[in-house]
Amino acid sequence: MSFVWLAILFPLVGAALNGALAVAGAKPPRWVHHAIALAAMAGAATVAIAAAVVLVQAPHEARRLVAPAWALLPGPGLREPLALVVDPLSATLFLVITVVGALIHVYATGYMAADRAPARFFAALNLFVAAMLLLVLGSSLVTLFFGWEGVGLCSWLLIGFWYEEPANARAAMKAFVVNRIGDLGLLLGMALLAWRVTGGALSFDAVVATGLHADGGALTAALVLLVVGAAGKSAQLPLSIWLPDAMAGPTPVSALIHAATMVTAGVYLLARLGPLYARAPQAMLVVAILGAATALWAALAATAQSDLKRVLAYSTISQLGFMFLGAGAGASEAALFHVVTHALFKALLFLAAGVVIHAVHEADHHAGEHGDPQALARMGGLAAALPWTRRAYLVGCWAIAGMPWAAGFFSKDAILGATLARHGWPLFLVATGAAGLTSLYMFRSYYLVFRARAPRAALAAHAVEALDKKDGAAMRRMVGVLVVLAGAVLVAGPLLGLPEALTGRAPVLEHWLAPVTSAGVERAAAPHALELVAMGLSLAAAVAGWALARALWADEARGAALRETLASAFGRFEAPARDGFGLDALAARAVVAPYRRLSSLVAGFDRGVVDGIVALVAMLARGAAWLSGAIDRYVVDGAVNGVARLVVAGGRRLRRAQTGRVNTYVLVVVLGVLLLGVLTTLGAR
Amino acid sequence: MWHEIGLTHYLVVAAALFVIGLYTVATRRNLVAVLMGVELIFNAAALNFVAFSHWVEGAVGGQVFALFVIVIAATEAAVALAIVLAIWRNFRSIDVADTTELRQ
Repeated sequence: MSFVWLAILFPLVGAALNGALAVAGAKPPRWVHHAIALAAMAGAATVAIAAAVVLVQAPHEARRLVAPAWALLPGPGLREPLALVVDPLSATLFLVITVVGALIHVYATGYMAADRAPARFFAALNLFVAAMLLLVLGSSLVTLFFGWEGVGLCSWLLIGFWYEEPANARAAMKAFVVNRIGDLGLLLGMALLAWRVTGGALSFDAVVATGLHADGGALTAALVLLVVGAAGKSAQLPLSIWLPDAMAGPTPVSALIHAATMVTAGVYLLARLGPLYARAPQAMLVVAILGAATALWAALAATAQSDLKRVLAYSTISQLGFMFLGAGAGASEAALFHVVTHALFKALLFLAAGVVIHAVHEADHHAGEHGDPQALARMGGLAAALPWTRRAYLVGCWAIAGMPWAAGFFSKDAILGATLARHGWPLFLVATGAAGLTSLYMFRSYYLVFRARAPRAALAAHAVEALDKKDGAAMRRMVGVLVVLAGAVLVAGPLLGLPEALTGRAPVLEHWLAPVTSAGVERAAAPHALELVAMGLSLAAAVAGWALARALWADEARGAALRETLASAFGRFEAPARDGFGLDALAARAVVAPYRRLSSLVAGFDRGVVDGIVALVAMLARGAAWLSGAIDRYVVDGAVNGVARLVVAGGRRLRRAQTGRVNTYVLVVVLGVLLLGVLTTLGAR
Repeated sequence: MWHEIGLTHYLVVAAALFVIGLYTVATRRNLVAVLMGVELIFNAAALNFVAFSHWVEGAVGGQVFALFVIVIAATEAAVALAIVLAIWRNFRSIDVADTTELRQ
């Protein structure tokens, strides 16, 4: 089934074309870049749908397409075939990446309509999709690692897309470096797996097959190392510090890379190796605790953010924490379900936020004002100006808060139920608290953006026109994507994940994923009553969060008294929460500063000792060279020149004999004959 | 003492002729004079042939050689005079001291 390769080829060709245009500095009409990028995405999405159709038609246990290419890393010890595998797990993400990716590309054609470098942007975006598909479809950890690094590169390119701002370039560098730390864990985990567990093979099949019968210690260590890698890519504590800063990139990038796809790569890795984690309870507990802690930490930080995109960034970290929690509770399919729903509603939220930011920016531009277009304080009362965007954002909030019917309700409850069944009440209560906070901070952002107060003058001037209906083709395209995504969010939850506790049948997605995620694992089914308790508690938390948000921020004036009361109790936590509870400062103090000291120490050693040795050697070499040069010049050259001079001088002397005068010659001949005569006479005697 | 003219007398005359010819060749600067010296050397040789033929061999072989020597001397003179003419054309001189071109 080698047509699957086309899915990677299309975006790669798109990236190459746009990249060539960018490098050549060609300035064709904007639609050329858009057409290239969108055609690539349409091609990839078509391949994904075709693969899914083929897969669905196969019998349940045999759903697996393999597209081999060639032997990667040939040689003794480590031998990896390069192949793509489409099974239910990768097909799910395949569809999410290509379809949501295509929608975000469409949105980006509107959002970046005035940007100076569309070719560079779309080339990087397409390249990202190609790398992400390689990550998800690759048949082995090695292939995954290639994609893993590829998406890291594209993330760096796109966070720093507006690199003229030093802050953006710094954010890109930070994301890249923090990810490197995680990647080291991933590499070490892979090495340990190959060395101690599988005997050299790193394909998922081999890893899962041998891991199921492997000795526990090495396997657990390798799995924990892989968790470090996954935590780096999926922004889990303590490697989460890069994601809030990554919002420096354009909003479509935040939606595609830092919400919908790349950051879920860690969850994908955990789900892919789910059967192994089921064998290593310690590794699983690490994952679960990490996920719960991250979910709570990021949710708390999100409540205090003053920048719309940073709210969403912390919310993404928090939701990724939920996914880790699900994977750590042995419910890979619930985690995957949350990946899918999160991709939809978080893309929706980010894109809606993008429209808001775009509108604020435009309004500022018209009114001649300058200010941060992402600051929540500068929004408010936008409901009239952006009616469709408001509805879409509300659907997103509804979904992420876990309100009934919308997508997040089912996926989050599946995770919470599994947590309660596997790890008991403490982790469950932490997660439920995080879920309540999710509802609080999301509705806070909703009210602060669309309600709260009358819009600022600059925004009000625009509000009359209902921006998202009338503001031109670019705006309409963006809002159109929002509406499509909002529809998907409303449909996806019930379609994919009506829980067994309600219907008596396994959820669609769980059944679909079962051949991969629960291969060779028997799982004790959670009691339905427990699941319903979990569902009720999380719903209560969500409603409580929403009610509190509404009381505090729905109307700025009416909520003031309550806000005062809360501020006197919790006000001192606000500033630390806004800074992510000092994690950045801690990293700066505990990692960056010692590292700087170490590097300056090493630099000093380098300058003092290494350079000294080098200089000494150089001096010796120069001395030897001088000596050798002198010998060459005076002895060897002297000999050669001396011989030459001797020959010349001798020649000069000898040529005197050649007078050219016949008389002389005759005289010499005569004298010679006489001499001969004398000599023969003497000799004869 | 002068009983009879014998071989020795001829050899003395021939040697004298040879030495005179050689001296002429070695000392004269005029090419024609040099040729004359060469002729004297030829004749010295021819005289020796004849003398030895008469007193030592007792046959006519040496005399035949003398005839050949005369013939060759004539041809040599012809060739040499031609060369002298060619030199004259090139150098406007037949002085051997002037024809030192090859020295350069």
